Amino acid sequence: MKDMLKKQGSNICFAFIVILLALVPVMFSAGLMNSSTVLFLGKCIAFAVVAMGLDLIWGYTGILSLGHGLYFALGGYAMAMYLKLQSTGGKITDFMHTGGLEELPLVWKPFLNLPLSIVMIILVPAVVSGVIGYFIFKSRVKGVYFSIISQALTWAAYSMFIALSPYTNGNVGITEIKSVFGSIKGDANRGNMFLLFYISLGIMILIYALCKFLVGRKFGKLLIAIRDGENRTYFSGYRVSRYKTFVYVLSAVIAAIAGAVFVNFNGSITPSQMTIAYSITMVIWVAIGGRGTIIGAVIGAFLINLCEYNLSSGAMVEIWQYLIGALFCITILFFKGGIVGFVKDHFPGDKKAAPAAQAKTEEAKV
Amino acid sequence: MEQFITTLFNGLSLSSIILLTSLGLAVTFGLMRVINMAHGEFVMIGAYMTYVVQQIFVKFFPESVRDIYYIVSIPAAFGVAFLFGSLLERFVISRLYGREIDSLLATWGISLILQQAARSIFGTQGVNVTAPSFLKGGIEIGGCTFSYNRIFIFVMVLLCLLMVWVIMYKSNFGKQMRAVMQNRPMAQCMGINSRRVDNITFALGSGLAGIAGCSVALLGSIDSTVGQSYIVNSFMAVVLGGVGKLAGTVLGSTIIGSASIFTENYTSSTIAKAIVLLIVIVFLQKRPQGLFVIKSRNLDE
Repeated sequence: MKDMLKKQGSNICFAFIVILLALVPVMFSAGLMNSSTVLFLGKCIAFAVVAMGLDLIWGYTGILSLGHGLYFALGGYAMAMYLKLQSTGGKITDFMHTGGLEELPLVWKPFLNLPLSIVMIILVPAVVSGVIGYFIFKSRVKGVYFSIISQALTWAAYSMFIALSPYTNGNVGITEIKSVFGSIKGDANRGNMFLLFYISLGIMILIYALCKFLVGRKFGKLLIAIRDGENRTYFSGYRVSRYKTFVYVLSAVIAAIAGAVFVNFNGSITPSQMTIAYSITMVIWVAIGGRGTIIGAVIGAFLINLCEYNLSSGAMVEIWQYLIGALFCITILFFKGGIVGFVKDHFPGDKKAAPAAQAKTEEAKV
Repeated sequence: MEQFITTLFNGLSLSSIILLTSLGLAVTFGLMRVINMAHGEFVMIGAYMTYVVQQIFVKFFPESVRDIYYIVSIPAAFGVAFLFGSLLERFVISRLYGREIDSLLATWGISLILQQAARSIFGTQGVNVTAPSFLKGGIEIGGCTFSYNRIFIFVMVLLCLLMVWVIMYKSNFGKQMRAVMQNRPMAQCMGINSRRVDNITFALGSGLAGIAGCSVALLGSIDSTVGQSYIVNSFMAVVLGGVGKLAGTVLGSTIIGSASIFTENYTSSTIAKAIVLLIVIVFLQKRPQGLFVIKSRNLDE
């Protein structure tokens, strides 16, 4: 029994989170929760999804992307464009009028129907990350150099989205949209909200399963090999840059899916979702939850956001900024494994695993 | 032609500020393999110090000597940023040697704290520094106006660069620093106190960012995010120029600064950012380590 708990620890933990979330609509119906909390938890599901993607690329492969906000927002915008056209009935929007456009611009055309929109949600970030990743990883740019480039990429994209205001509505972003299943506000639309919530939960489970599936086999071992000794992996005959590009694209697509889910709950998307600060916030979730564990990303995303949701209003907003900064700093300095790593180190089920983890951190320091 | 010269002048002016901020970044990265995301906040500290010094002068000194405030604020900004840098190195950075990516993240946490501290102390609204009277206006040559404050910034940066060059290549400390940079264990064996070298170097880099803050204060209003707008360009300059050589940083910042001003002038600021990024990516195809590299046979460097 104990052995199973050890082996399946993360899966059990994930199942626990899923069951808790599945009970949320029930609790809402029973009047134990208000609707904004449910919407907020829906957003958390999206955050957990993007965190899992980040964990794949950072925790497992050791590539720190400071630009996942870009892919998150690309997915979000794609979804929002479809939803906006749904609410205008395929006509051009107000901000396009203001921007001087007479008819629907070509880039908006694919978003007139749902299947094509979903294709675009996946295709656009995949192409962008694929091209960027191909050129960067081919020239063996790595470590902080990559982080800086990804940061600059987000920065450039951010200012571009603001500048192209007839197409994207600039700073304001795309607002006043309903979810895929229609309006989710109010008692009458409770069914829509539940449907959306459970579908999002399903997406989260699928992504978790996919990540676990990938890291559980040779592919996952290879990612760790790249993280711990990139040159050795090259010398063993693997085309490291291809693996890196693949993981980058995969995590970008996961981020985009998360963005699409997010928009449904949030009801709007703004360029602030693709800032550098927002992208690093995502890294904070993974770092505090525990990198390289997948479940850590989920825990981190929920925990940090729940804290922020409860603390960052009114007088606490200042303290929250100090707190998150200090927490992040201390986690990186002293608890490299985050929450999951801490639990693993302090409750070692079998004696073999603990020294191995110790040795790994020692090695990483050298 | 006139427009070209004005653009060139503005480009040089931006380049010089980028140079000041990226010098510290490049040297600390070369020396300790540590990327300091809070570097922009040292620019902010310098800018706010200028504001504080001005307020003190307005309060306690007669009108006739008020203009000196700016001259006083430069060493003040340097000193305070130096002190903060030294503390940051002592308590945070020194625990992160060799963990490049982790250092980047930990210093981001510091940067969040410093930004919030600035908001708590000075408020969320931007504050303004009035330029001293001797920096108002400009000289006109052949239809182009060269504003005094930009000329002043340019000269100041040249002086700082000279200072850094003397420290790095002509002083005993610089010799120790370069030794640690090239081969840390060997330098330690020779009796160099590498901890001290690291600390002073990091603090010097932070101090330079503080001076950059002084010049930024002349150009616009100061708020808690003032450092962020320069820092992305500085990072790019470091990536482009390579680490560990002064010439690389100078060239890198000149390219980034001029490229962004020129493209901005002929297109728009948005496209400028994209083009600068493109330039860096294309450069890195040929030279992944930057333009200037310290030659080494070490594979993982």
